Amino acid sequence: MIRQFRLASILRTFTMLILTAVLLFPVLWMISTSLKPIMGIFSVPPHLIPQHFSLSGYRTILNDSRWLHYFYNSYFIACSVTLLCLVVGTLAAYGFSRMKIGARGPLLYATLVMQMFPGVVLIVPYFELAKTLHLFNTYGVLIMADTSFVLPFTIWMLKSYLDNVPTEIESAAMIDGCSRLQAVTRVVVPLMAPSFVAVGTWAFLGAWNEYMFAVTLTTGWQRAPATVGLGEFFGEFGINWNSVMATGTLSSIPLMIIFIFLQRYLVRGMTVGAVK
Amino acid sequence: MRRRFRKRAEGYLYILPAYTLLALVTGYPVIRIVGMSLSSFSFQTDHTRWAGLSEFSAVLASRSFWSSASITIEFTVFSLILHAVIAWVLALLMYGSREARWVTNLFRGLWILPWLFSTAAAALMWGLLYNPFGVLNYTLVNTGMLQEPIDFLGRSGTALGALVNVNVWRTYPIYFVLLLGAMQSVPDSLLEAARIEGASYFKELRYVVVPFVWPAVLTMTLLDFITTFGHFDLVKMMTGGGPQGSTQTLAFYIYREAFLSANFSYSAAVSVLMFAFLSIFSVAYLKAYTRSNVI
Repeated sequence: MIRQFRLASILRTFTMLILTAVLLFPVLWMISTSLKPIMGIFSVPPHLIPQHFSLSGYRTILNDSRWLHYFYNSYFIACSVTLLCLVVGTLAAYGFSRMKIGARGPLLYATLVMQMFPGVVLIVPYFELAKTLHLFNTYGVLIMADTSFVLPFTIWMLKSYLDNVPTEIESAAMIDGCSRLQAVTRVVVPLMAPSFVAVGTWAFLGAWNEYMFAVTLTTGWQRAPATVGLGEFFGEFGINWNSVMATGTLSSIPLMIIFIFLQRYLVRGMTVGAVK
Repeated sequence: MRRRFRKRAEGYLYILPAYTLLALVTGYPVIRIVGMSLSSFSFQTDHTRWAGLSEFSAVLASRSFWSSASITIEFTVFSLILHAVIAWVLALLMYGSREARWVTNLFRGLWILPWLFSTAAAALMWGLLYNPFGVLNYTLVNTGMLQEPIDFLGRSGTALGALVNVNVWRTYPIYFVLLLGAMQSVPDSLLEAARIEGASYFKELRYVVVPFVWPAVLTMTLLDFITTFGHFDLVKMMTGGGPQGSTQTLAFYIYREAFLSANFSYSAAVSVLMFAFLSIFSVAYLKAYTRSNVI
């Protein structure tokens, strides 16, 4: 009986390992290719561990000033969207969680619908808006466009978090002479710090990965984020796959940092507000 | 009385910035797209004229619209099936695991990793694997499964499947995490009762766990349908709708008609039809969401 149980457990762990290897193979292959010299990319037979290591792929990309722009744009847009949505979202979440709002149900459901809205429906009106307001190819229009899908889940997640924060502490602060706004900034906001990390991570990831709005509302490398630059590799003739994979690896660095340090927040976020 | 009014108004003051923004970035564009679909619109002439439902009848009479619609359905259905298969396999493996906590946490972390990569990065990873000289072709040819290397993205028979595969690879983690979360929230009392009754592992799954997680699975599937149906990124990056239109999903069709053919009103009409179709699913989703409360 015991032996049978052990056998099943070993089999299970073995299956888990094999599946992990299969699922993560594309990632390993990307990193491996980024470290190969051009001649070694399509070697026969293929080698997961490069026979010769070379950083020429990384060198090509880091010497290309366009990629500095692409990455800077990605960071700038993602950070702005995160900040904007956290500030505005916290206010809204506080309103929903603590105040009397008549249209609360309909508004919250409308937000839930917006969250899963097919973004492609918005691109033509955005394009028109960008043209008439002279916002085409600016950070502003991309930040706005990203807000359309980041803000709804920010509101939902922050609200569900605030609902679990007891009201006694802020009431006490208000009895002690704080105004409501002071109570919010001095008592509620510090209490919410963990949820800011969780929601902020989600907001950042959403904006960092966004491609559709970026590709329709920008042109050239001056304002476009890295996703657009990555997408452009496909059209090129005779791609240097080692520098392409180096770029892919570099663009994944913030995601890996998030993965290593903030994983448990991510998992919680996934279960609170199911997101695209 | 007056005080109560002030209190009410104060609540709205807190949500005002957020909903002003949302009205601008979602509300206005939705109204505008409906307006565009009912008029003949062009960026060259400011002159816009009312066109009634003529664009809609043009869309519904067009063969490319219906072929895009069926490609979209194919893309969505296959993605959903594969999501479900992978998520159930992984969640069941983990659910029955009696390994130490840190081992299961490590596996869970590694299994959600693909979701963290941007769609663009995933597209490039798989673009390299799909290459005619790439490692996938090498393996398939050497194990005898293929006669000669094929260009997965360049053939109308394989391109859509190749895109489905990349999409599934990047998005299965959401399904997996939600499913595992639902499975782990089955109350212990239910499981104990089943064990006292002498239920085997499989009976426990069949009669306790699956019925418990079913509402959550339905909710997830609806959400998955809605988001996958509007998928755009991989098509734009990897195939551009080709070869021979075999990967032209509705989202890409909307983009192509607007930005490559400058048929803005036509594109708007397709958008409105897609939106109307998905609204049915959105309503179903809201109902399922309020009922299940698990997600």
